[in-house]
Amino acid sequence: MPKVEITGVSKRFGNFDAVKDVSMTVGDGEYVSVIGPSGCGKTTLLRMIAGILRQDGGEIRFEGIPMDDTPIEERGVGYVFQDMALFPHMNLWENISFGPKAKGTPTERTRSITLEMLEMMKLSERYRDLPGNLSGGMQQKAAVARAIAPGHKLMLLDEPLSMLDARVRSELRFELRNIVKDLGLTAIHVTHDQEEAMAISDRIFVMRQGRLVEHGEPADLYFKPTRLFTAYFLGESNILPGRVERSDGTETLLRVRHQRLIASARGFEAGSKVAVVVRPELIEARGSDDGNCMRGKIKSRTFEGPFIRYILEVEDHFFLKVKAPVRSSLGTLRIGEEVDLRVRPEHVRVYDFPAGGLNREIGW
Amino acid sequence: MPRVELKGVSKRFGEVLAIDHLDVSVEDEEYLCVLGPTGSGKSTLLRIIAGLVRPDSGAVLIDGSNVDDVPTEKRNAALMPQNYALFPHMTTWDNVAYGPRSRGADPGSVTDRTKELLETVHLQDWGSAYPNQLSGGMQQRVALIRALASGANTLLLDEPLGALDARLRLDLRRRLKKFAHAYDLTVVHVTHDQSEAVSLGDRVLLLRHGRVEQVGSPKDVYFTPRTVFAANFVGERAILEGLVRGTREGAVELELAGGETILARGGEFKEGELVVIAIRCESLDIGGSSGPRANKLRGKVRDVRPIGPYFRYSVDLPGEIVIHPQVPSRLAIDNPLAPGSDIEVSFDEGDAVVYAYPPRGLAVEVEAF
Repeated sequence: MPKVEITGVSKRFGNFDAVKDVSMTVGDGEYVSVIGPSGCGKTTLLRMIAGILRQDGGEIRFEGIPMDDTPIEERGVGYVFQDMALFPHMNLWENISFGPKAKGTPTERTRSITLEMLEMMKLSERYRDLPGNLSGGMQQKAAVARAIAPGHKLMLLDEPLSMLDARVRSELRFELRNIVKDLGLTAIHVTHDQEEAMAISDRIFVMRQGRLVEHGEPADLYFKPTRLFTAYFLGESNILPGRVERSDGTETLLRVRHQRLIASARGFEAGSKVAVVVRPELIEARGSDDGNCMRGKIKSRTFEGPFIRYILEVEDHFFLKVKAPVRSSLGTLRIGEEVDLRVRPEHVRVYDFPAGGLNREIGW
Repeated sequence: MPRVELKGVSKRFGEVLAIDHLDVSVEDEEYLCVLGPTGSGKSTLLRIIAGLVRPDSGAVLIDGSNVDDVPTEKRNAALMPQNYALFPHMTTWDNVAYGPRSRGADPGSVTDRTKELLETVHLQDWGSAYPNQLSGGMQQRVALIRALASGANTLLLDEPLGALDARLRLDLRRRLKKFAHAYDLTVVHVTHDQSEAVSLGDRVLLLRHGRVEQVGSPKDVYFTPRTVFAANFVGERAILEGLVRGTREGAVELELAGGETILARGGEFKEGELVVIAIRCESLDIGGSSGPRANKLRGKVRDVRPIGPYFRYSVDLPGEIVIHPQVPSRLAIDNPLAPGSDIEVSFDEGDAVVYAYPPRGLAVEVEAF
């Protein structure tokens, strides 16, 4: 039985549909994240699951039991906020043992839970410190420990890492996932950071303007999104207007400006207008003639750490972003250089051209 | 002549020495990124340049003149605060015109200047909109031109992209640099995000405890960090301990915790000395994907996470070492390695850099949180 089952949930604030007809299920022991731009409704959704907000319509069940009339403190959820919210006048030990104590857990048991939490978070030596004496990362780990300590099996995390330094964030996300997995908890994690969502979760739900756009495992969603918005929001993409020349049961021949591209996509109508999507890091050096070969001129080159990012001019008004590992044959190109590249058909994604135009579909 | 120069500047807040005898110079039209963890003194540095914080000692020079007694609004260096701090009850137009007006500038010139600035960021149609009617990107543009309204040509940016969605941050990062370039601005941009710093800066200045840990081109700082702290903070690296077994011609032979021997790049070390080795995660090859390498270690895949342009592997090595090779997605898709797979991790001698063991211990240098 799924841990959390949400059916047709909506929430309106005045004239604004914050969440509109969202349905999702989260399995026991699963780590899912909900991502989307600011204002997409992801935090509102999380608050309804927690019981902080009541939905206008639809139903929320935990293990099959409707939660509509269950107040937050009886839902058995641990909630972690963006801004940590530890009790500032209590030391770490008191903060973590607060929940179990308040629940009337026997003293010895409370003690052993608190010890275990401190150890797991690698904070044992700091147990007498007040939150103000700890770094941001430590505080956030303590906030997670405090949320888990009462024995809750469902964790709701609202941007738990967004206040932290990038470097801390990129380590803590894996620690967070490991803790949730080691304890066999279920987690729903709201974030606007797509990299964080991919790193941390088993499945990702993409939201936009109050609605669920699609969901899936991180790699599927990133490399084979079914919706154009996902291709745009989750990482960087080349999104090009094109036209279908022909399409059969195995592949689709496309025209983008004056270039022809083959995509491993099917079922498009000849002559129809489409949006063609290619990930910058899936463009490679032309080793052989298979796939789509393209020749272009390097217009700009930016060092981005592990990758070099190029803008390639294929022809007038046709630019491609290309991301190459520093240590690859494409890592050393110079501005002005002409280069032969290729994209394999399975890495070319095709979408119906959005009715409202490209800018409306991929902006917000 | 440098545009902005700090000479031996110090600033103490109570017990904390926020800025410690700092020397910094920013060249004309340079884009300098100041990178560092929370509490390293980044924002204080900006506020000292802007004249919002007075240093305890040392001198601040702008265009060669000491500005100790020059007030903020006359310094020709304008601060764009974190979260923009636009006035919520004022329109875009009034937000931009506020500074010059309050300094008693001639109304006609304020109107011309405001109009011109709005046009430069394509917001001429949004003059009567209030901040909450603008998107995050538009708000940033308003904050930018508001900072420039008084005519400053040095822009001080405090985490200018911090408040935005990750996706939007990428786009605006590039626009920011273009904007600075198009208007010949000198920029000091403060950030805790190393990827932002290396992709935007002409130079990157890494700050720690109010002191310069390292300063140089993005490539310098990224590929040849001078200290263990810099190695850990800029870019993702495996940081390992090892014992020196011998040295020859710049290469150091080391023994890792599991007993394997590797070759690494480094200076003079004594045999038997305990050292630290840093290896960039993206230089770790797995599955023998690209050519011969000096170092090969046997390992077992523990976990794989796809993170967009690359896959992050967790690999167990002998001696309870866990490392995290980053493999470009294109290669990882073609050659999937499931958890439990036995693999070979390989890297070049030059990919591993040896550092003397930090006197205060390794944890202090690499503890990110």
